[in-house]
Amino acid sequence: MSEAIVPEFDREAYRGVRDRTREMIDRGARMIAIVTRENDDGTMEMIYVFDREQKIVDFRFQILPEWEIDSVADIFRGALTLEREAVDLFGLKIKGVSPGIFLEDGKSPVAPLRRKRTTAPGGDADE
Amino acid sequence: MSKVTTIPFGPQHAAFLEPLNVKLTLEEEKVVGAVLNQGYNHRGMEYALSLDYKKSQYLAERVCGICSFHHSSAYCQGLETIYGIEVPERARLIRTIMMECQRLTSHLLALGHIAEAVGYENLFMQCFREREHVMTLVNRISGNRVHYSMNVVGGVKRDLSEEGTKDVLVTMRDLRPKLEELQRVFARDSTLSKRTRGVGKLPKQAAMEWGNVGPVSRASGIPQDTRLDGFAAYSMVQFAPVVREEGDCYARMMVRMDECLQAVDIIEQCLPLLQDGPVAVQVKGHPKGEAFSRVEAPRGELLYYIRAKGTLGLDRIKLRTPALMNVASLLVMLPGCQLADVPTITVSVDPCICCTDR
Amino acid sequence: MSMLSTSLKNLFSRPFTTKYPDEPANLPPGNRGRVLYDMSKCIFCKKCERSCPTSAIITNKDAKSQTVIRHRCIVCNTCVEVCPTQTITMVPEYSKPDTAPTVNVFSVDLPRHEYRVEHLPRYDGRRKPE
Repeated sequence: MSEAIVPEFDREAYRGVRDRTREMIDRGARMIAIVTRENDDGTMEMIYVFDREQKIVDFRFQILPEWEIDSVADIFRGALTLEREAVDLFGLKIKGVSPGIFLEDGKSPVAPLRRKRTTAPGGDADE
Repeated sequence: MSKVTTIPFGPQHAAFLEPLNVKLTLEEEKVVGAVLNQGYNHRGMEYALSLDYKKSQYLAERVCGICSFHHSSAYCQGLETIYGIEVPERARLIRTIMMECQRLTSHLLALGHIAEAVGYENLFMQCFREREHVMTLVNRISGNRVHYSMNVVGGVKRDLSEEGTKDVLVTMRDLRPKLEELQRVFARDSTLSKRTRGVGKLPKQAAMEWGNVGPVSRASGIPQDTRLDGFAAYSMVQFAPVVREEGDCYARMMVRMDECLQAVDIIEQCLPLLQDGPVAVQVKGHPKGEAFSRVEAPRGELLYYIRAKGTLGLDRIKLRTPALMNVASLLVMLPGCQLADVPTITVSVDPCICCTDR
Repeated sequence: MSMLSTSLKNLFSRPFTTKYPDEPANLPPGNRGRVLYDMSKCIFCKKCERSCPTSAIITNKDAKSQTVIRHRCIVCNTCVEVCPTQTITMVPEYSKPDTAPTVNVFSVDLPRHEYRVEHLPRYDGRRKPE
C-alpha cells in the first residue's frame, strides 16, 4: 500500500519499535506482553505492555497486516515467545521469526484468530 | 573426540505431568544445547472466551486446574474495572482466603513433585497427605475440590458462614506444625541437598532479561511480587516477598516452602477482619471499554487484557500466563548440566503446559 | 532423623487412604454432585435453559419434560439459583459412569427426582457439529 492512501498510520511509530523498547528497558521496566488486535476495517493494532515500578505502561501503534515488523528479541530475550504467538495466531510477519512453532505447519488452520466476518456458524459478525 | 547425539525428551515422559517437548543435544552425559517445542495443549481459549462474556466466567476457570480461582478472579476484576463498580469488603476478604488456599495446594503439589523427581517417594506422599487436609477444607466451603465456581462479576456468590470460618481457623491451626516439620526436612535432608544445590543456576541478569516471574525470579534475587499492588484484600494484610539469592533448584524449592507458611499467616490475618455485610453488587447492561487486570497466581504474575464493545461478545481478550515466560528460560538453565538433572530442573520451574498453550 | 521416625510410625498404623469404590467416598454434605428436578413445581419459564453456560438443559413445554445432558453439565449451581420456584436441587452424589453418552429426562408423570435414561449415539470419538 502506498503511503498517501493511509495517512493516519504512524509509520514512524512502527519503525521506532526497537528504540522505544530499548528506552523502556534502560529505565528499568520489564516487558509483560505483546497484544495484537484487529480493528473493524482490517487493520491491526499492536500494544507492547511493560511494568515500571509496579505500574503498567504501554505504547501502541497501528499497522496493516502485510507490513513486516522488527523483532525485539535481542534486546529482551523473553519477547521471542510472545512474538511467536502473534505470528502463528494472526499471520503477521516479524523479522527472524518463522511460523509453525506454536501451531503445526500444514495441518492447523492458518491465522485462526483473524476475523472471518461471516454470520455463518463459526463466524463472528454480529449481523 | 566424543560424539554428539540428539535425543527427544519427548511429550510423553515419566517425569513430566504435562506434555512438554525438549530436544536435547548431548555430548556423552552432558547437555550442550536444547530446543523447545510448544503447542501440544493448544485449545483456542482466546477465541472461545470472546464469544459470550456471561458464559466466559465459567470457561476462564477451566483454563488451568491448579490456579483456576486466580484466572476467574482476574477475569472478574477486569470486568469490574470496565463497569466501574466497587466490590464490597467482605467479598474481597473471601477472595483472598480462597486464593491463599489455592496457593497452598499448588505449592505442596510442586514440592511433592520435586521430591518425586529426585526419587524420594516417601516425602512425596507426606506432602500429599498434608495437601489432602486443604482439599477437603475447600470442598466443605465451596462444593468442589478444584473448580470453586465462587466468583461472579461484582463479588462472590457463596458466603462463608460461621461454621465455615471456624473450620478454616481449626484447619490452619492444625496444619502449621506439620508444615514446619516439612520445612525442616526440605532444608536439611542430605539427599535433596546433593541433588538440588548448585544445579540449574539462573543468574539475576538472565532472570531480568528473560522476563521471569513468580518464585523462579524471587529465587534469583529479584523482589518482584504482584501482591504488593493491593488487589483483592492484600492491602489490608502485612507480608513481605520471600527472596533468596542463589538461583538454583534448592533456592526455588525453599522459596515455595516458605511461601506455604506465609499463606497460612495471611489466612490467619484475614479471618478476624471479616465483618457482616453484602457479598455482591448488581451489574446492569453490557460492558464497554478496556482494562488490564493483574493477579499473583501460584506460578507468577497473570495478566488479563479485556476489551469490550457493548454487545454480548468481547472484542479481544488476551491472557498472559506466568508459565509462558518461565518455561522459555529453561534454555538458559539446561546447557551444562548432566542428563539425570534434566527432570529435576524442569520440575523445579513448575511448568503448567495447559496455561502455556491455552 | 524425623523422616525415619515418621516412616516407622507409618509402618504400624492404619493407612490414610480410602479404598474407594469398596468403601464409600467421604463427600461433605455441601458437595456439588449432580442436579435433580421436582417436576410438580416446575412452571416451564425456561430461565434455567437460558442461564446454563454449557446449554445442558432442554425444556419441552408441550411434552412437559426437562432434559439434562449429563456430560455437558458442569455443576456450577447457576440453574439452582435462578429458578423462581425451587424446582431444582443439587445432591452430593456424582453421576454414575456409563458406556454411551447419557441424557436424563425428567417428566411430570414420574415421581419426584426420578428420571428416564436415554442414550445418545456414539460418534467413535469424533464430535459431529451439532
